[in-house]
This record gives sequence, structure tokens and C-alpha cells, in this order.
Amino acid sequence: MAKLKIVLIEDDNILAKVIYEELEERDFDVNQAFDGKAGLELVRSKKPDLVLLDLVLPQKHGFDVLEELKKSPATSDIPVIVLTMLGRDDDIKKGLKLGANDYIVKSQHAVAEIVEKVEKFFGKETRPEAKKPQEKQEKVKSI
Amino acid sequence: MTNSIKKISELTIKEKMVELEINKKFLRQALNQLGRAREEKTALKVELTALNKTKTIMKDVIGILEEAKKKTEALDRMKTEFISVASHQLRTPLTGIKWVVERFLRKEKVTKKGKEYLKDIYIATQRLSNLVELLLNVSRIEGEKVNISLVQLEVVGFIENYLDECTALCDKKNISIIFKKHPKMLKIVTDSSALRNIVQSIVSNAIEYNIEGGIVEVSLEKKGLYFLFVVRDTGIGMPKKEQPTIFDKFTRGSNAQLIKTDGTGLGLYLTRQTVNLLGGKIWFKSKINKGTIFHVELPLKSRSKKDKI
Repeated sequence: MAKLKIVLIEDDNILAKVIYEELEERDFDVNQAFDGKAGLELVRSKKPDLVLLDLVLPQKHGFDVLEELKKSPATSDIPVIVLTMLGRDDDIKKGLKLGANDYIVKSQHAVAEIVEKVEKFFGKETRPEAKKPQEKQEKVKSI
Repeated sequence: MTNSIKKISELTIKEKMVELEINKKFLRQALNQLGRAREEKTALKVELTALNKTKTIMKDVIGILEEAKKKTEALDRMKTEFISVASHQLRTPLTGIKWVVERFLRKEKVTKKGKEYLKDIYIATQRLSNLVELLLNVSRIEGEKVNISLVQLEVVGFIENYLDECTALCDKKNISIIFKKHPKMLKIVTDSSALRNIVQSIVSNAIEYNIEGGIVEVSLEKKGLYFLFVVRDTGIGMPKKEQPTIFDKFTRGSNAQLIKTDGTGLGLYLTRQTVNLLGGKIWFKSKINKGTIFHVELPLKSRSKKDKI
């Protein structure tokens, strides 16, 4: 089976690198763009199975990228997960309203959880490695 | 005849003189009055000029005050905006550090000591992240950028989930949490992240300011259109004279400072703001070296601001 294609649009080098490496290790075919304009072109040319889209981007804001993707029939069916640092309810609502399939607030998650979310999106089994270490919960007694 | 005429004339003249005298007196009086009126007029004129001057000054003062008010408001907005931007810009590199360390621990072979150091970096970064989140929340609530987004949730399970997350924190000081669940289930409409912040703040305080081997008792009950969330601890308590200001910004109990040095004094301030936002009330009773009991009363159905108009 061919690898699933993902376009990752994220301007922070370190965050992009870590997500890229995680996804590559899990057998995704990942293409990267570091600004909104380049990202939009990359999605148009690659026609990926999923777009991971940051919001605060140079050249073109993520919301504009999302809007243009959804406007064009060639790209409107490509699912988009918004990656944001904002985490404000307004932004999340706006993202979903513009047609994003899901959103992830980066600062609130371990990178493993983000990749887990991507795998879940494709209906893949999550490998145990990606799971968060489970903590025992015996301390809490219930009456 | 002549004599009598003369007499009459004399009399008339006398009368006329008296009359004249009286007229003269009146005239003098009138003149005096005129003089006084003139003086009064001048005095009034002076007063009017002074009043006009005061008016101009007052206008200037009002102008200055209005300008100052505008400046203060602008400054306040700038401050909030600054914290918000700064927090956002801080989050990105912090997330970078966390993710890299997380991958390092998972992927690379490191010595036992190396692993320990990496974990230390992770914990410190997490602490910094939490602080940034707290500042961001304060700036948001003060900038009134908070729109509550209401969802239906089951609050007993919600609280239980959070208590489960506290295990690591409890283990450090061997604290037991007891959760009295009456009722066993309660559906409410609220903003879940706001509720989480409230629960987290009150429960984590009860754990962190507790004594070694202490107890935290959590309970929940339905009360009319509200539900009451109560957290009782066996901790250090608050000094009586500091209790009235404990919800103020940047305020910490003097004894709290001794136990935990990295507090900000923003936690309870933010908690009260958040409780207000949801349309609830918060209060407490505390006794030094005995413990504290916090009551949070929240509506079963919170309403968004728009509805309240």
C-alpha cells in the first residue's frame, strides 16, 4: 500500500522538525512548507491525504490558507487539521467554521499525542510507543 | 392781610425747605445706594471674571483627566496585549524544548544520569509552561477576551478525572484524596476549560499546602439551581489577618511562601475571576495550622455574556 501523504505547514523550525521526524517514523510521506504561500502551493501540487496547518504563518495566515483550500474544488476535499499555539475558543471555532476537520493546541500536548491524533484520523492502530505513560490511579478513593 | 400773606408765605417756604431737605436726604440716600450698587457691580464683575477663570481651569482639568483616563485605558490594553503576545511567543520555544526532550528520552540511548537530567529539563520546562499559561489566562480575563463556550458535561466524572491526574502530586507528600460522590452523576452546562481551571486551582492548592500524609476531602452536592463543590484540606491554613486579601492579585499567604517558593499569587485571583465569569460564588474558611475549606457554588446552567444582557 502506498504511503499516506501529509503536507506539514509550520514555520517554527524546531516544531516542524520534531513533527516531521515523528510522522516519517510512522511511515507517512511528509512534505514540508514553512510559510503560508509555499504551503498552499505545496498542497495544490502534492494533493496530500492530510494537511497539518499552523495558523500564525509568514506570507499568508493559516486561516487564509484554509479558506483558499476550501474554496477551490481541486483542494476542498483534502482534510485539514489545524495546529495552533493560540488555543483561544474564538480561533478554534473560526478554524472549524472555515472547514478544518480538527484542531490541535500544540502547547497542550506531547508530540506523541499529536502523531497519535493523526493516526487516529486515518483509523490506524496506535502503537504502544506513542501512548502516554499511564499513571496509577489508586490514590483516589471513592466513597 | 399782608401780614397774614407774609405768614403764609413764610410757612410755605419753611415747608418747602423741609420738603427740600427731605428730598435732599432721599437723593443722598439714592446716591449712596447707587454708589453701593456700583461697588457691588464691580465686585460682581470681579467675581464673574474669577468664575470664568475657574470654569476655564476646570475645563482644562477635565480635559487633562479625560486624556489621562484615555491614556490609562490604552496603557491597560497595551499591557494586556503585551502579556498576550509575549505569552504566545514564549509558548513556541517552550513547546520546542518539551518536544525535543520528549523525543530525546524516547529515541536516543542515554545513560541513567543523562535520563535524569533530561527529565529535570522536562519538569522545569513544564513549570515554565504552566506559568505562561497562567499569565495568559490572567491577561485574557482582564482584557475581557474571554468568551465562554458552553457545553454539557457530567461534573462528577469530570472532577474524578482531574483527581486521577493528581496522583503524582499526591505521592510526593503521601496525601490521600477522598471524593464523596453525592450524587453519583450530575449533568451541567458550563465552560469546560474554565471549570477545569477552577477545580485544578482549588484541589492543587489543597494538596500542595497540605502537611505530609495529609488528607484532601472533595465533595459535590446539588443545591437548587446551583451545585456546590467543596474542598477541605488538613494543610497549613491562612493567617487570619491575611484572609480578606487572599483573592487579590499577587497576594500569597505569608506561611504559603515558606512551603512553596514558586507561587505567583495569581492562582486564587484568577480562580475568583473565573468563578464570577461562570456566574458563581467562591468563599472559604481557614484556620492556621488546621486547614482550609473552600466552597465554590456554580450554576447548573451557566449562561454566556450575551444572554445576560
